[in-house]
Amino acid sequence: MNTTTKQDKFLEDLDVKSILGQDEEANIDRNLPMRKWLYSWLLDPNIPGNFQKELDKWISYLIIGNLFSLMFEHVPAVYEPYRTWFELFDIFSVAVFTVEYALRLYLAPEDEEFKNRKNARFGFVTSPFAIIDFLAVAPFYLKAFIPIDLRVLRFLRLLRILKLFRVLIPALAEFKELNKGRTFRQKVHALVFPSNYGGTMQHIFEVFIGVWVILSVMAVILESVKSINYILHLQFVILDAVAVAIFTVEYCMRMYSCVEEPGYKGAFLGRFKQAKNPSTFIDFLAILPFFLEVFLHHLIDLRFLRVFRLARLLKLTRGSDATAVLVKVVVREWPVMGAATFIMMLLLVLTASLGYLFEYDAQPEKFENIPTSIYWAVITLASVGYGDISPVTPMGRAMTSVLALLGIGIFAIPAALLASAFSDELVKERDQLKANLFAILKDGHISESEAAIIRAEAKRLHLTVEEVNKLIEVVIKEHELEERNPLPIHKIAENPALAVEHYKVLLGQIRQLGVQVNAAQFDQAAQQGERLSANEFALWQKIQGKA
Amino acid sequence: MASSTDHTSEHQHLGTTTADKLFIAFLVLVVAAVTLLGVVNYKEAIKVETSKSNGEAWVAWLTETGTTRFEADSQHPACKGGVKPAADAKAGTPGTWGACLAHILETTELKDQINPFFNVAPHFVAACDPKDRTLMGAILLEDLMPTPPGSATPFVASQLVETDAIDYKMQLRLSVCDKGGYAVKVAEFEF
Repeated sequence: MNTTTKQDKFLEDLDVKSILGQDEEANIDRNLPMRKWLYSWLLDPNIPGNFQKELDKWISYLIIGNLFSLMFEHVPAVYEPYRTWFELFDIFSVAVFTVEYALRLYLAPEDEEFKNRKNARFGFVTSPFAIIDFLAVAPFYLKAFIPIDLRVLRFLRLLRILKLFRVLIPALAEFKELNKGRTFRQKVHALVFPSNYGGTMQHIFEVFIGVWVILSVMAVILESVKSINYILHLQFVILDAVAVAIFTVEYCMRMYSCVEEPGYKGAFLGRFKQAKNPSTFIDFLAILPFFLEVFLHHLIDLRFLRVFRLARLLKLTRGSDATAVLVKVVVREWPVMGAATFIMMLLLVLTASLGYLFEYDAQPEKFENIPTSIYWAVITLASVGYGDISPVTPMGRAMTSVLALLGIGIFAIPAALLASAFSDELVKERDQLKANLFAILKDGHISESEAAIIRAEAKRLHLTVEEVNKLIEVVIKEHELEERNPLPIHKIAENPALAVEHYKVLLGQIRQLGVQVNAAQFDQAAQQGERLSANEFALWQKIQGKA
Repeated sequence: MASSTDHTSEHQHLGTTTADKLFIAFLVLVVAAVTLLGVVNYKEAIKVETSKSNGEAWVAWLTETGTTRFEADSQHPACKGGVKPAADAKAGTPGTWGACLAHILETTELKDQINPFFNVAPHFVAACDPKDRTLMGAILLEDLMPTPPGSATPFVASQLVETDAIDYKMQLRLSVCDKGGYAVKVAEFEF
């Protein structure tokens, strides 16, 4: 009983924000000296919840912005009309970088790296990062005193990109540490596939690929605008080549290291399986048009292939759980959707045939044959109604009125099925999380790995702190009920409120059982030797949301 | 979350194995191949850019001449406006595009232009055609004739041929054929 009380206390004291990694309120003493206080808030990488990560992130964005600005400065048609904006952006960037440099210089004596040196600020100034920071702003001030060739100045400004090393080097160090004692292939795997060994470096890799996907897709879209393509054609060609080089390297890395994934063992079979994987196939489609166009453009016109470069956008779905849920739902509901599609097709052919029958004599040029009438039937049944083909005979109009009304219902079935299946899937996944929480909280202790599971699941299901709190409350109640000496059924039955709660608990347990058990094996075992009657089995199916 | 397998229990070679080295070599080869193809694409794109520059030079010359060719002391008499040729005029008759073109190709800097796809002077064509690879880098000069009010299209474009009269203020459109044989519009201008 004492243990139970301790557990309850633990559960009540749970800080969900902290478990979900959202305890962003840094605990920094207000009475610290100004310099120390400022360092703690802005630059200390060891204080969770301060602004250090945010600062690094926004500085990184500004560096990337500078890179693009520099690129477009080489395009007179873009640069000349917006010269003032480019100059203002440069001034703004230099101002931010200067403030950052000054801040780091001022706060250097608080930095672990420099505080033990004889002269901390001199130590900072001569450190590689500080030299890079200095090089990023120095040319701007230098040109005020010394006339510098514009090309040299632009090259020096390009050095700003080196500032990204401030983010990259710590990530690389973390990656090395995480992958100590692992093979080269495992390291490649850790970089390209999500795993416990990837750390920040894997996140940076994903962001890098994501940025290139967005850039290349934007380029494909803008290429179709003739006026823009006229000005930036050369830049688009370069960008496409760089994007293809990056995506090809990524594809090769995935194919090489996929054998480290569970279920992909085997040098040939594992890779073949990976190549057949939809997301890898998309990766392949993303680079294929480039090679085909280069090799075959002399034989046939392959301009249409350029549109397939838009398939690169699908690469972004790799990191999206929503896509995985959609695929799961569609696969699960396929038989029902197939039936709905069959009814739709049936109605479509009937409508088209009747339309042809009633309207051919009146409008032989529009209802020329049944295939032509199918177009009209689809437009009518889907409630689009372009109006380019419409019935004119009384019978045709009467039939169209009925079919248009039917179409609303028939075409809505697949949408309703999908919506309902999505909702079911969400409930199932939450039940799964609840089951996990139940198991995790049972011992009254949350280890770091368990907290990581909760974090990952909450992120995957897009749960807020409040929602996780609510789930935990439910789990606590169930724990309490489990820990209490169970009341006999007749005692529970005496109190309707208690009976309802007991019923809910039992239902919840059956659902949890459904989530955790292998469904196919359960069904087989239940039906073997008629362990469950038809009614019992139907009830089980209903509770699991399958009936 | 997919997780990597931990092979700590297996015998592992922690340095780079032969397979790793082969993979790195393959990766370098792939990057080199893509770079090479990128350079090929870039060179082709430069040819299109040069063709566009050729077209822009024609547009600049024709636009500039177009502002003065109706004046009495026009610098280019062969392109002078207001000189009406006979109805059955042949190419080279004063007042026709043929006479003006011959003058341009003899006396102006445009005569030195090179079609980068074939290293010959760019020629004028009736239309760009993706099926005809000999048209890459060619120039398409069209006369835009306004249609009567209420028409579905504001003008009709037809190739400016050598026998066409240029005695009136003309609305022209100049395009060049790109490496795929498609027309790239350079500009619409008055001549």
